[in-house]
Amino acid sequence: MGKKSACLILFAMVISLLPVLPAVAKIDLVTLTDRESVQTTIYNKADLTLVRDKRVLKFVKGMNYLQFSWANTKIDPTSLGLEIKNESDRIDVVDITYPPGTRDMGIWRIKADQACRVPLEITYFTSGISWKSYYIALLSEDQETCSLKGYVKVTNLSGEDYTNAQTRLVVGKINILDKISHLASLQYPYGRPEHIVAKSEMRNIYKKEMRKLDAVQPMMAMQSAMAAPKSKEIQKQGLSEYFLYTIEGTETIPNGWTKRLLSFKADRVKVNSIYKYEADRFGDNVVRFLTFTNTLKNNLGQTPLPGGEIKVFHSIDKNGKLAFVGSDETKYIPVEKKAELNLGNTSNVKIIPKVMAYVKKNIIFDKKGNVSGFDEVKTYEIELSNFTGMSAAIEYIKNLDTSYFNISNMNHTGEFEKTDQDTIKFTIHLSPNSHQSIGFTLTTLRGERRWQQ
Amino acid sequence: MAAIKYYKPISWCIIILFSSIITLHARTSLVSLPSRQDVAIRLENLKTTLVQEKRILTLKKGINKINFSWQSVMIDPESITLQPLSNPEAISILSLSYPPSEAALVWDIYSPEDLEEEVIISYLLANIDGIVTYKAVADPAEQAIDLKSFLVLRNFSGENFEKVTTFLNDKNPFITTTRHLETKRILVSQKQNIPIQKTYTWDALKMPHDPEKSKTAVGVPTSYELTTALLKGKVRLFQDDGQGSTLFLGEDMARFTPKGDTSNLRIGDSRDIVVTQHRIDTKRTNLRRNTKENIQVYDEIIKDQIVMENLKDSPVTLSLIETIPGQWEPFDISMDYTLKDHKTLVFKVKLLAKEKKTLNMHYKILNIFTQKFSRYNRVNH
Repeated sequence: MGKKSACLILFAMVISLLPVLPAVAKIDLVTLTDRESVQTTIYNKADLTLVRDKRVLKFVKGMNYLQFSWANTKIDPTSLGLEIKNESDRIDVVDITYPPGTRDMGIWRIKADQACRVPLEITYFTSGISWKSYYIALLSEDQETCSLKGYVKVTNLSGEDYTNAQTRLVVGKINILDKISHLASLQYPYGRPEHIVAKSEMRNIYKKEMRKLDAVQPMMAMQSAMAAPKSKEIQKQGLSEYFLYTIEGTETIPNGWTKRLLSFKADRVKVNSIYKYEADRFGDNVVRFLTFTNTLKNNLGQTPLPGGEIKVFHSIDKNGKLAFVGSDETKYIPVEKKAELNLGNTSNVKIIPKVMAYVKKNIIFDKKGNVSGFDEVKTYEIELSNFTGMSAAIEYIKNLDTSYFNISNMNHTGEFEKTDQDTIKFTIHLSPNSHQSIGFTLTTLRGERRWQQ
Repeated sequence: MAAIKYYKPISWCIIILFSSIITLHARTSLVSLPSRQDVAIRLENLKTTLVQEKRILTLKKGINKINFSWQSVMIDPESITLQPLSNPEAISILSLSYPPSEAALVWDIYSPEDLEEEVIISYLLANIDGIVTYKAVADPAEQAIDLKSFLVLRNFSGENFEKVTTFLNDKNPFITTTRHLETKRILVSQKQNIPIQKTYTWDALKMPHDPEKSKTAVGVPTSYELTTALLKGKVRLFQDDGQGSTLFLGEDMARFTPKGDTSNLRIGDSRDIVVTQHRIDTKRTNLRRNTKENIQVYDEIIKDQIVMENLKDSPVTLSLIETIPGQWEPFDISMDYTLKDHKTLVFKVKLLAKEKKTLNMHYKILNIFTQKFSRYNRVNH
């Protein structure tokens, strides 16, 4: 966290005599020391950041009072924690009080059995800091491989500057009962026991206070004078069900600012284009999908890839000319799994299904002579055209309205699959600039014919 | 609480009046205004706070009228009791009267002689309560947690309590001070090294069956199972990250868990375990009809396929829950299961790192009614 702003934030930790507190035998002023370090752990699926503020404080023998205030920030007061790192057997964190008539303030009572100087950590949750990942893929000229760059972008709208903070990003979905922003906005930290709903004061938390990077720019200038800067590495570590990205060194992200960092870069990632036709999902269109697998063999596979937007470009020549192919939001991609990017409708591959013959057979009647069932026989011809100049993998998926059907007279030699009780899938590989058609007969049993199998 | 009243401004008083039963004319006088000797607040029932205060009453021989009134606090008048402590056998509480339109009551207490009596006055006080929160830190291997329990004392009662003895349970009371409009969080207990079991649960009734078609990544709910007594309260779970720091894993609301019972605390979702379920086939058989040839009863033969993938680098045990409603019988179910009840099958599937397994369920649902008895196609309790 950075230096205090004159008008925006007072995020102060002071030890003080508190006149509102009852008299105690021993209250002394303890010297406030500078922050040793600060660590932020930012979650991308919840508006939540765990801040760990490390300091060394001097305590006197007896009861010590530590006041902590956080006006104009988005800190969840119920999350405030104080951990004594050493000497924990000699120091007792008795309680924390949120005093009456105040807001955004907590006072810890800390009992020391003798005067000492100890490191401690103040932890809390804040909202307003977020991170997201996104990717840029550059397809090779033959569109068989791509270079893939992953980025992480951290945005700080927390109301507080974070200067020289160790920054960690968490990939994963945690279970959260209450939004941190809601807890931060409550008039009383844990609410009230009665049903009198206090008016929540609307806090002007998005004041546009342009904080300058003056404090850090000289430091950056010094660094650049000393050595040529290089992009930071992001270390990745699996913990429980999550992945932790730890950014090398420390980062300064003032309130209102966003910072982008390169997460990884992978070359020659094998990609496949699949052209799909599925009327129930995409209507009467052919949709191009680009797939790649998150494996070591594919120069990826070190870690899962967090979800995010991926923009796909195509390299047109060796002089750097590019064409934008499309973009999609990827889901979280576990190691060993395939990513499938929807690049939108295309006209370079055409799929035209036609019903070439239609017959009703095996009509049956009930005792009153009414029609009670029949077989519906459709002869399909699917025309496939590939105008891309490259070989194309095509999936023709047909969703049926019943599970009572059969397929016959198939002239397709490629893959055919019944993916579930009412879905069939044909997979066809077409040469560049070629045409092909496949045919089959679909017999659907209607009415009472369904029970006569 | 019934009949809670609210007055302003704050004031408390107990006035003792004396009347003689000997004379016809009531002789009353202000005997004393005893101050509280000792106050306790009891939070065993976290939503309703019981206040108990000790006072010394100076009683005269005969019937003593003790007026108890309150302002600017919300007391349940029907909850107020007075218990003599020094001479409980000698003292008689004759009656209790509620004056009209007043936050007050009057006890008639008979004393056989002049004496000082220590009494305990108990009442339910509104707008002061306790809530419990927990902080748990799991070890890096997720085998055990250290659990800290906190009491959050919320005092909006209108009353300040100095050095009040606070009971969350009969054991380990503590002394604290709580003032009106003040909230205080107090560490009340710590337990080290509580064993936990990490569980992954996929319930076919709750989870999407085809995660590939879902727009966002589908995670399998992940929990810690532990056997330790808990009060209801929010638990925030962390894990030692092995680097001198902790990672926040998630939070859940612990239910009241008596000693010896087991609770589950959900931390989040695992997106590295993928479960896909497809219905491969459904066929109706054994049709039975009425004279109009309408189907009245039939059986259904179903084939389901469930593919489970563990994409993690470590083995896991997945609890897979399938529900088959009504009367059913299996043909071939390719994995062992236990019946939680007549319709709920629980499969405990061990998946090695990077392993994929397929469960095939082939079963028949019998005697499915189509008409007026269709509600009996599911079993109701």
